[in-house]
Amino acid sequence: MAVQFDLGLHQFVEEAPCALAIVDAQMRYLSVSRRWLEDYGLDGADIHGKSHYEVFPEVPERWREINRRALGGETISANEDEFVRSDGRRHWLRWEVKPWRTPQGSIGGLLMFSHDFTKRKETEIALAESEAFRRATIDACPVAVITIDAEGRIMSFSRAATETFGYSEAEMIGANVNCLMPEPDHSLHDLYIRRYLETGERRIIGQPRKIRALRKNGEIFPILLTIREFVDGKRVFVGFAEDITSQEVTDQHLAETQAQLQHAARLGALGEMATSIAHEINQPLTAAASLAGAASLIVRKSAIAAAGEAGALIDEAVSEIKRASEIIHQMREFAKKRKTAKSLHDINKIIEDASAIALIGVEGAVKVEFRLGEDVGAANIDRLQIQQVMTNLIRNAVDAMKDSPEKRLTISTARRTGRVEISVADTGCGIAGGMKSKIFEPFQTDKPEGLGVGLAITRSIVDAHQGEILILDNNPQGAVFQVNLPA
Amino acid sequence: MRGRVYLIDDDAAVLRGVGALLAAANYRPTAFGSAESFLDAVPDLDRAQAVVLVDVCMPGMQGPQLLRKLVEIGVAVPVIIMTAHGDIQMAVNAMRDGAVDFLEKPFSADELTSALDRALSAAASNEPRAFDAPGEYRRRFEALTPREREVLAEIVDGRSSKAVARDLGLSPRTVEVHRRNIMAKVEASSFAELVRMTVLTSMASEAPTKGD
Repeated sequence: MAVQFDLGLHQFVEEAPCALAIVDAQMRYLSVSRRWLEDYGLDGADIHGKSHYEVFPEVPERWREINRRALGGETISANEDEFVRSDGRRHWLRWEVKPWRTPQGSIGGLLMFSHDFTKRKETEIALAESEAFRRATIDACPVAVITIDAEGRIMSFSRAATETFGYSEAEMIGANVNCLMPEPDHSLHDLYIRRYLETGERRIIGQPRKIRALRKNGEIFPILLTIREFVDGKRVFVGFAEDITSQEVTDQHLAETQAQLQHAARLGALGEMATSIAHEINQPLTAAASLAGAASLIVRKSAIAAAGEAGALIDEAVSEIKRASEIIHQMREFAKKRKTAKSLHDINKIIEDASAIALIGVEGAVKVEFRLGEDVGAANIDRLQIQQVMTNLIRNAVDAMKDSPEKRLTISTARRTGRVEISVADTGCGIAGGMKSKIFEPFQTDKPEGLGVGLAITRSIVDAHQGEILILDNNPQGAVFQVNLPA
Repeated sequence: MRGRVYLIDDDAAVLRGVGALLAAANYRPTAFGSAESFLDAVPDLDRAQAVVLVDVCMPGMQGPQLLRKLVEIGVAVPVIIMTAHGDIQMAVNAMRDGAVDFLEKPFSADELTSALDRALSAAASNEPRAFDAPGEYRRRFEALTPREREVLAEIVDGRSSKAVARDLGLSPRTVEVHRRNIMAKVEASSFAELVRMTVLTSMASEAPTKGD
């Protein structure tokens, strides 16, 4: 059935600011808007009188069905629909088809509107894809990643964050980030952000900082927090929070052991010095007291007038000398006070701890090898004192290799019948045969800054454990200090 | 001349000083710089009215080793050990090894002469172990209460009053009181004498059980 369109209507349709087509009941084009031609890439083509399906052979069956239904009187629309062209191009469309009627009231064909929002949709898809990618990246990050806005509200909360803090992401989105902080930060955090926004003064942004954080279960724990800021339309702060509980426990354990060892080493050095000084000074004091005593006797036997007075003065000198001796003795007693407090300790563990401390600052300069026997087990020892022995031996070994081309330190343990054997082997200058017996005496040192009491203390500790310490030659060069402890 | 004193010490100043004191106090001292040089000279030495005064700690042969050596070669000269001040354990060990007495360095003229005279008179009466009359000491020690004995055992081990107080669950002041009472009861004039008396008494009472 042919329908007459006047020119005015044609022009009206052609100029319509949307994609619009009018077809007859056989789906032949009666009139189309320029926009329709533009949207579907048909610029310049004359499609009047051609069938819609001839122009768009790729129209899927589902749409053909819709058109049939519309020709039956229905008005059908879709807000978002995808149209795949035969050349692979995709159109994202909002469309509507509705029948038009002849003056006689019968259906004369269809009005087809479409709005192509492919560009927007593609941007959306790209955005969604990049967001998914970003999200996957953040979730793969082993440290907690949290983004907040300028009001401190949480915008994203990574998978590691849920594991670290115990909250789900759903619980956290929109919440104030201060719920992850213990006091006083909890109350002050809003102020921190405000102050930063007002002054631009960076206090925590940029620099990794150790702070306390709060888990959902109320536990306060240490984190290493790094904050970065970026502007994405608005200001966004990203926090990277690493749970350093285990690291801190290790650090603390090491620091405590180190402090204890230093204290023990100071006491040990003092004791060793006091013992040596007491002996060395006591000799001249004895000579002085005896000489004075002799003088007193001689004066008293003599005929001089003031013999009694002089004798009394000399006796006073003797008692002062005795007092000096007593002071030294007390100092020695004080330093000797530390008793060995033995209990069962895992030898390998103690050696690992002591090595960690002794090797601080040596990392990289010396190749360290541990050969710890698996069956070494425990021995009845004073933990601190044996660690002191180990740190002394390890530091000596490192010092001995100062000028060696090859710096290799081997720390080994082994269980033998009735004893545990601990060896510290270096590739240093070695110890000459004659020095091997002397080296344990106090004040024997070749180090300008050393007191020379380290090995004396080492031996006295090993003695107190009923153990023995041996010096062997390392092959091809260097020395091996071997400590045998009863076990 | 009160007696011969063979003085052995590795420190030249000590030899000189103690030698001068001995001479001034009318003894006849002979000085040796080591136990070895003394042992070399022993065959030619006059052992009558003689005492060996030897330092406990010397390079080479030490005082206690010399003691054992003298016993081994049958030289019956009383030996007095000189110890560092406060080294009670060393003194106790030396006495168990056969020293007749010990002197804490530095010592006064009185401390030295009374120790020497005691040793000489005991040697003269040919009772090397009897000069201190352990029987008499034992009678005095028997007057001690069980608590005083506990305190005595600890302080003779060289422990401080504070440590003794901690070990026995007493206050340091109480330990001090016990200590003074002990000294008074056994009539010890000094701590060194208390140690000496304790060691001699315990050796005398150990002897029968050991001599089986």
